[in-house]
Amino acid sequence: MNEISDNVLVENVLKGDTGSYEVLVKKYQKPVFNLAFRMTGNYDDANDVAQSAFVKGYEKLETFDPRYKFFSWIYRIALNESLNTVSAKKRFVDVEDTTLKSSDTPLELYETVEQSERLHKALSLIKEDYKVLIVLKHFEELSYEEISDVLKISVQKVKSRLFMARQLLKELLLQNDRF
Amino acid sequence: MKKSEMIELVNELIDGTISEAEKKVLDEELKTNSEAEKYYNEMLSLGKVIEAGKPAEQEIDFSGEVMRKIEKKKYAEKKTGVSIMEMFSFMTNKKARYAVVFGLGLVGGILINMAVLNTSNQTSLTTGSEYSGTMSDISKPANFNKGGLLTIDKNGIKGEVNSYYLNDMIFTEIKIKSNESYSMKIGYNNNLKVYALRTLNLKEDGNIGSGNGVIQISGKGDNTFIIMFKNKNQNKTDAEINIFSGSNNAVYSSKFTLN
Repeated sequence: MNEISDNVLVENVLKGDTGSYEVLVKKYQKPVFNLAFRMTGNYDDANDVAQSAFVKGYEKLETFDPRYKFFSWIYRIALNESLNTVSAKKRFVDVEDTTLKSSDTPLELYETVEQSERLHKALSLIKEDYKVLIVLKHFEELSYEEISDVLKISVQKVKSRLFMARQLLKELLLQNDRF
Repeated sequence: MKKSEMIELVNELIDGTISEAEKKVLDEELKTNSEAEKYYNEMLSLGKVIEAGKPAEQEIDFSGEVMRKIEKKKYAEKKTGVSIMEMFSFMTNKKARYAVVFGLGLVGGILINMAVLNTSNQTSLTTGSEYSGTMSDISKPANFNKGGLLTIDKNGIKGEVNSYYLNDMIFTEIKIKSNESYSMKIGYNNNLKVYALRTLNLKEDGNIGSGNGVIQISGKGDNTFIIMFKNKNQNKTDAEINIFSGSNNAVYSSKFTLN
């Protein structure tokens, strides 16, 4: 079965078919949630942020420019929502994530979480502008061009900020002897 | 080669976006420039650290919740926008206009009531005894405190629920085996926050998601779900996790004191 394109779904929503928006939510809820989760470091906050991003997306759908990708557009809304949440809290909530594998025992899991927390504590110390680049490039695995679309900055700027972000992160981790 | 150029090429190499020609130039630089070699090695190590600490993808399904919020907002906007009588101003017969508006109000009221009842069903979880099981100690994993084991065997659904806890963390593993589709809710008290959700050993359909302080699992076949909770508070606190069947009766209830 052919998948209906995002732009057609958006058009349907604008004509009054709310069900088409649910298709878009179902399609992108996971990456949007994961972006929010990786930015806020908290599952419940990420849930609120991601849901709020989709509700705002619906309200602002008329402003969506079909020349761009819906994914980049909703991603940008979620990113802004995440940054607002983080800035409202004025802190990074202790990092709440782990990489679970089938073979993980509770003890292995605990150690993985500790490693992850060290990285995220270092990330929380660099400016948001730079942290975003690490999250989008390394965690979300977006290309330079996709990051450029989401952040609305040039590819060259994406590169220079990303390289600076890595430099800052490296220095912080070296200070803490994490290499 | 300028330092800024070297930094750019090393980063492009790490990102896999370097061209063949640039790579040749960088390879030469790395052979002769110890500063470039040091920078390259540090960046490689950084990549490994980031990869090791990369947060895992989380499972989620909040589409229903989002659509409910949108519908609620739309309804609120209509309520504060043009009056419903004005919307039917094209009807010249005043009595007919009132009759239509009254009828719509009645239908709307019924729909809202249904929505409220639906929401309260999702949040007002109560314990019960439709399912029963035997709580017994499980073998204690290194460093983790013993939790409980429940065997579920009812209505074709077979399962086991294990919990472990250490310091401020609870690890709950739910194994379900069922030829029929199933759906269960997991409630937890306010001292806990959800840390991670995952489906493991997914043989057939299986989903796990969270919203409104309740986690829901559903699926068919032989599946394992993992939930990790963390203590919200800095202090010693009581934790309670309840698992409910579709009719909101408790399948499993477990209490821990977290440090």
